[in-house]
Amino acid sequence: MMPLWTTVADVPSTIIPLVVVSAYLLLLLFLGWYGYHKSSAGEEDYYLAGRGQGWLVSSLTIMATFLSSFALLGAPGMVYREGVVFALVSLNVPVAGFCIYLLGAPIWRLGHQKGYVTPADMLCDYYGSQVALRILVTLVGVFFSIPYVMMQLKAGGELISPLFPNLDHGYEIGATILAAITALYIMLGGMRSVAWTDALQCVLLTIGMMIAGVAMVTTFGGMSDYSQAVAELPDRSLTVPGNTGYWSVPMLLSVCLLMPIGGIIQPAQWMRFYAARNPKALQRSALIFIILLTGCFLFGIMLLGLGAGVLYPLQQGPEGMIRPHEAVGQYDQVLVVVLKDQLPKLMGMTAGAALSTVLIVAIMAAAMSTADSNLHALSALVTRDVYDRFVRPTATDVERVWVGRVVIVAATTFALAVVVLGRRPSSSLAPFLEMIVGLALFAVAFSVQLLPMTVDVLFVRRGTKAGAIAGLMIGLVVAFCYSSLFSATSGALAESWGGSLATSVSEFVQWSKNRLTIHAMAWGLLANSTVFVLVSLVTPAVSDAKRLEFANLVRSRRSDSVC
Amino acid sequence: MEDGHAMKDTSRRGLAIALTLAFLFAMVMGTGPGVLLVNHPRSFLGLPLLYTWAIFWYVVQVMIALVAYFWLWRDAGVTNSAANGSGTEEDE
Repeated sequence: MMPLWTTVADVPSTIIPLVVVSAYLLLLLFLGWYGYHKSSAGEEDYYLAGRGQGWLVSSLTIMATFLSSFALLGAPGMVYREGVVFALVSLNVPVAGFCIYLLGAPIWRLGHQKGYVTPADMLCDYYGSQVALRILVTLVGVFFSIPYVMMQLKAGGELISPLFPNLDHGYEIGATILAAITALYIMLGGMRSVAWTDALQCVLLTIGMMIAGVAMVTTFGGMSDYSQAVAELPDRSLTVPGNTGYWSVPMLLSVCLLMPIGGIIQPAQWMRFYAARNPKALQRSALIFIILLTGCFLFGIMLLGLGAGVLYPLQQGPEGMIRPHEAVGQYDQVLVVVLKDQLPKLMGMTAGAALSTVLIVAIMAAAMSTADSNLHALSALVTRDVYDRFVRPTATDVERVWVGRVVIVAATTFALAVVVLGRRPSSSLAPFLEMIVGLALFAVAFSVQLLPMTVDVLFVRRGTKAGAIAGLMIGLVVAFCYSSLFSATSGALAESWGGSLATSVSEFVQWSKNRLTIHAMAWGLLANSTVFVLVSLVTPAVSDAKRLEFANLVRSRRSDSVC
Repeated sequence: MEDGHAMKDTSRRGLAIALTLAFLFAMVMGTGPGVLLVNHPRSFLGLPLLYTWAIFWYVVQVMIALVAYFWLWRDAGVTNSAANGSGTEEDE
């Protein structure tokens, strides 16, 4: 396979991508430095940009955090593998958009008036549990953030390795470069740098999504020829449950309802609600999110993925299993392969190189914008909810910010190590790391477990401390047992847990999965909500004073107009 | 700001319920059992039928969002601020 940057160009086209990518990375570092320059000392500024983000930056950073490498690598790969059914999966995005306002505005009101920084600050304050619940909520953040960061680093590696096939360890080098630059600009400027770089990255990646779709239609010679070609796809590509049979109606509905909620109440988004200047910023963010992002998936990514299905037909493997065309190699690589093969033919050397560059930068932007948000949120969780509470309660603001930076380095290094080591065929994690979409769904299965508590604190106020703790614990365990990681590591778990218990759990999980094909996040949420309600019925309630205080704060919009 | 702009609480509640039901209906039709009504490998308007179906329900969801934004969410700030006597929300 020839490298993209030499097939699309000689001189000057070879130089274009290198110059543009380098300029993009330098611009990110400049924004990181500028954020550092503009910031004031202190934890609230580092983690929430002084709670002053306007609607434009808020909407762009929320969208960029939501999108990730899922948008430009994972989603086209999923459309290529499954077919038209992914158009229906795209309808999960408006659910997330509505949650930005319906959950975000009350979260903002409580955060603004009580000075919360992390999700645990709010939940633990309401339930009066400063140890058990705080640790559990922090664990949710860790379980969500680490896979999400891994997913982005994996994307960086997958972007570089086919571009430079002659480069030894291209995957490892790509993942490392992406990790290093992202960690550096977060450490410099905190939330301010993250939000500004997110804004730039969001513009790039939404443009990239739309260009990818338009380029694919143009490759076929126009919409009419494209439609005819797509109509010839196999029937399974044009219907539910898709080519692999994964997207049955219950699976589709459970993912479309719960994945966006999990993606919106994850710690990084939660902190963006706190950081907004006022709820109006969140209202506008919600509207832009619903219209723009769903449109990008339906009119950009779908057109790309379906076209790729025509250009690189899926192949039948042993036992009837489908596999990607040999020119594609891995599903998540489909956009990169299209760039390599089609754009030079379509646009000529120089223009092809220029457009390829825009899309490559867009993919990098998608990956980095989510990795930075999650690393930043993770540093806040560990610093405020663990270090500040249990290790050194007397630490100064400056010390805490430095601890946060150490957390960013440690988390980045850990995620990078797993991504690099887990890719080896001998690794038991290899199936788990196979597809970006799988990693995304795994991460969301944990963050969505915050939903029952969050809804209770914001709207219902009937739950109890014991109910919240028990529900969350059960939800996390059940979600894990139904996840792909449990399947991938059940052998090792059997040794450490004791063979009979692990085998029994595994058999029960398989039995229930065969009867109801819903996602692990739905199984976890079902168990979580049931336990939360039942335990809350028989344990002491939260004090009336606390419930009244929160009810008044959530309802009060006086502060909305003050900001 | 107590003018005709602000909807009465009962009207707002009715609109909120109607929009919620409409959105749930769109989800059931777009991503739930409603999909089975169009689960055929045919084309419609030059695109696979299922794809066109998704675009239709996307348009419905966008309309719901626009109505909520202009008549419910923005109005919520106006009526509440008026009730509190604290004026309207500051724009950015």
